[in-house]
Amino acid sequence: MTAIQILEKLGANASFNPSHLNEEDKLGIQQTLSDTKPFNAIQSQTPPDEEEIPEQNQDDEKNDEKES
Amino acid sequence: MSEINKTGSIVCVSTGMTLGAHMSPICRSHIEQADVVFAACHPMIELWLQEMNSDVRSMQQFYGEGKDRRITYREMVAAMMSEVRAGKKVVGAFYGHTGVFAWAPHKVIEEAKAEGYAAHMEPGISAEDCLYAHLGIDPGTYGCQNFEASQFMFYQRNIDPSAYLILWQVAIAGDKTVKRFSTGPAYRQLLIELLTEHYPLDHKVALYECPTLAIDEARIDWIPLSDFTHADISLITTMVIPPSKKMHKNQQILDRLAELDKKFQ
Repeated sequence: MTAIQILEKLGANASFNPSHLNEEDKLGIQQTLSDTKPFNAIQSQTPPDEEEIPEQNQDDEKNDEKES
Repeated sequence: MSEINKTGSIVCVSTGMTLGAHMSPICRSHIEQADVVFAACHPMIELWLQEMNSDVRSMQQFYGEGKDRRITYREMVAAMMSEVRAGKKVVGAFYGHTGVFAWAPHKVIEEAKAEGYAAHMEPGISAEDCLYAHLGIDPGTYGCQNFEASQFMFYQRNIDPSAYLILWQVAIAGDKTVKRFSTGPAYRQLLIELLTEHYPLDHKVALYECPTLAIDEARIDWIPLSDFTHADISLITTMVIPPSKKMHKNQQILDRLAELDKKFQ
């Protein structure tokens, strides 16, 4: 089983006990976790006013993103 | 392109909060049957989605340091709509409940419907749902108010201190730029000042974080409100404020109800 499959089973199966994981499985999970990129969790944010952001800024930002 | 292929469709599904534990069968089925899945989830959840579909595209790439999130969200919608217009069966997989504290899912469904495509949302388990279970809070006991922390600061809101108050996204409280990944102690201090209109500084509040993995515990740290300034928080931290006052009876309505009871009982 892959680390993700083990984690899926841990989440879905009440009788699948994490304390029963062997060292190899634990290492696999730790390795997968350490390889993940940061999570941008904010998917909605209220601006201080209803002003629309100018289209020009959007283009600038896109260029910045491509360059970075 | 003048001719639109109406065979395209979009379903925004909810992955839930914890990998393996929360996704509904119908959400999973949509993911498995999609031509393309756009994901806005924790990277571990995105890896999980890759086991359900061979074309999973992370939307984390649209975020950027110093980039206005409104642009990020529009880019998410544009990416999804591009494939819908190409006639694909598209799924947008968003963590938690896809329609809670998430702009892009609502917008992409609105746009797709306006253009004549099939579009709908599948509900799921949100951070708020998990919070009630982990903290042992029933929102029905005293009532419960939910605000995004920044919105709570930007606008004059009438809060009821005899009900629970839940403030979301406290790590970026007061961010007027819509760009930051953290504000800081000075901003949090201002939030505390605002809250002290209703709560004493020693009022105990909970800092809550829902686990992404079943091997992790939920974070539940009870601290005095005054300690929030320098508390260790992240983008997924939520502040839960229990009531500071008792509920007051509305005697006028109670009296009128008593009169009605005499008539109708």
